[in-house]
Amino acid sequence: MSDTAVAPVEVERPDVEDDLDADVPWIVIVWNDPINLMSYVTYVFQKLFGFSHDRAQKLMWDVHTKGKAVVANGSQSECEGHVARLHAHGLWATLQKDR
Amino acid sequence: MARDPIGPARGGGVSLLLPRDVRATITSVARGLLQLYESESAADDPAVARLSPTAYPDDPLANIRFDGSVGDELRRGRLDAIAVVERTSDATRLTADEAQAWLRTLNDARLVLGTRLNVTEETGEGDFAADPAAADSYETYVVLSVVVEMFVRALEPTG
Repeated sequence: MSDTAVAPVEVERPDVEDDLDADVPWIVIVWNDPINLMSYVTYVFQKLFGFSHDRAQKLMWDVHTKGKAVVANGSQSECEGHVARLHAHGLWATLQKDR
Repeated sequence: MARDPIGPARGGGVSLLLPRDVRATITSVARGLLQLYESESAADDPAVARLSPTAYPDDPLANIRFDGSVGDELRRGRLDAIAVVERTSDATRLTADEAQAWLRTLNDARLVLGTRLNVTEETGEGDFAADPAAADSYETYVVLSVVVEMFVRALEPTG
């Protein structure tokens, strides 16, 4: 470290108001439902997350056979954005801390 | 082989060669959705609730905040999509955005009908033999399923 005196600089404080527990990542879960078509769910995963068809289909299959799958992770606000878009497409999505 | 009634159009968008009776069903379903969203009982309707699942199942306060921040936008998006379907109900070609609006409206209608009919993965036509009104709804549900499947095939990225 340098011991040269430097002028104080303004430090941009991270905005923690919307994500009080910022160190803990959040996950987005899509739950199985009996109405949405498997092809439709695969398509929505491709469209919203840019997944390849194979990856989207694998996730859809996890949702269908295991009852749910984690489809995304990130900050709380990122995950809320994903959940809102999934809801707009009719998928049953929730978010929670990844503990 | 015959051309798909719904398929990618040359130059972008989607070609739409649906029979008249299927178009009439779709228009009617779209109007029904609009009435449902605008009805006074919409807030207490489980079929409408299915369109806005609980984002935070274990945190009611967070869920209220979430609904407050995205609820209006979700509703506006659904109303805009219905308006596109009504405006283009006779079109033989849709832009990609218009096709997305059709897909959204048709899938929302499936969710509403399927919730009302308590559809499960085992549900079939025979389950509604004793209830003509439910049988009609289920027939509409099946038609919408076929059309949604066609839209997905037409819209999904290739490769």
